[in-house]
Amino acid sequence: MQADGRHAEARERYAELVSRHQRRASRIAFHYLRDAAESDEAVQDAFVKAFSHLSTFREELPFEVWFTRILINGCLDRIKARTRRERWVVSMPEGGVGDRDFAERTAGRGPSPEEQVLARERRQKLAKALSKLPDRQRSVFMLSHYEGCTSREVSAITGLNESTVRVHLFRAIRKLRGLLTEGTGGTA
Amino acid sequence: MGLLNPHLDDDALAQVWTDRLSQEDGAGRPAERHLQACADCRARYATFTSWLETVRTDARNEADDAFGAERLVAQQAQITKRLEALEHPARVIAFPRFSQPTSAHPTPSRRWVAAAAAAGLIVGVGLGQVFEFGTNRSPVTLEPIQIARSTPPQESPRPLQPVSQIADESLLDDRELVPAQVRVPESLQYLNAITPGARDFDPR
Repeated sequence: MQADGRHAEARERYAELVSRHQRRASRIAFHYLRDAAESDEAVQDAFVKAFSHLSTFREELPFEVWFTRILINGCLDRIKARTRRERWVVSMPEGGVGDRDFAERTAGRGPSPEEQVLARERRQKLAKALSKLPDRQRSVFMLSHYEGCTSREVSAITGLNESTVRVHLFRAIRKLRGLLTEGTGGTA
Repeated sequence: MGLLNPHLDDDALAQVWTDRLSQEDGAGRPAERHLQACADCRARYATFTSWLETVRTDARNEADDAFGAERLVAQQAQITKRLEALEHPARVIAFPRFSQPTSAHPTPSRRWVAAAAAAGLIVGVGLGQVFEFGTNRSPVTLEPIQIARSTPPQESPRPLQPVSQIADESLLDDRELVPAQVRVPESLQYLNAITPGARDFDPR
C-alpha cells in the first residue's frame, strides 16, 4: 500500500495497529529503560521504524513478534548508549524518575501512604534485581512472565531456541529469587 | 530434593513453574510427581507462585502508572505526526545571507532569465562579427619582397647594392641590436658579413 502511494490509507490502518499494541509496547520499553520519557521515545521510534520497513515484514511471523523484536533492540541500544554516557557524566543522587513520579502520584488516591511506600520499596528492589540479570535472561523473563508470551513467541522475538528460552527463564527466576530474598532470610 | 530432605527446594519449584509456564508436559518428572503427592510442597509452590505473581503485578502497575491514558493518546498523536513527516521531503534551510529559502530545483522564471541571457550573448557575438567584417574588409596588398641569391659570387666582391626599397630601420629587429659577440655558425659567416647589422647603423 505504501508502494502504491496510498500513504494516507496506510497510515490510518497502521494507526489501528499502533493503538492495539501501544500499551504493551510502552510497558516493555519501561521495564527495560525504567524512564517514562525515554520509553516513550523508544516506542515511537520502534513504531516509525516498523512502518518504514513494513516491506521487509514476513507474513509468517505475527506483527506483534516482529515489532517487539524491533522495540527490544531499540531499548538495548538505548541502554548501551546510556551506559556510555554515564561513564562521562556524574550520576544524580540515588533515586531517579520513579521517585519524582511517585511524589506526584501519591496525592490522595489509591492505596494508603504506607502501602505505597512498601510498594515503592518492592518495586525498587525488583528493578535493581532485574537490572542485575544478564540481557537474555531479563528479556526472556519479562516477555514470558510479564507479557505472557509463550516459549515459541519468546524464541521468535529473541532468536533463541525454545529449549534455551526455558533454560534462561529458569535461571532468571532462580537468580531473582536469590536477589530478592537476600537479607529477608527466606521466602519472600 | 535429596535423601535427607525429600521435599522440593526453590530450584525444583522454579523448574516446575518454568515447565508449566512453557506448557511443557512435565507430568512424568519426579518433581512434578512429588508435588502432586506432597501437601507441604504444594503449599510452598503456592507461595512461590504468589511471589512471582506479586513481582508481575508490581512491574505492570508501575509501567501502567508511568503510561496513563493521556500519555498514550499523546504518544499516538506523535507517532502519526512522525509518519506524516516521512512523506514530505526534507526542506533545505536557506543560508542566513538570503532571506528566501533556497531550492535545489530552479524555478521556471529563473530558467527563462538564464535562457534570455544566453540568447542575448549569442546574438551579440554574431552581430559583432558581422559589423566587424563589414567595416574592415579591405584587401591587404603585400609588397613583393625580393630575396637575394644566397650563392656566393664567383668573382671578386663588388660593392653592396640594396636589394629592396624597404627602409633599413624597418628591418631592424631586437635581435639585431644584440652585440656582435653572438656566435654565428661557420657556414653562415659570409652571409652574416654582407648583411648590415646594428653595428653598421649610425644613428647620426
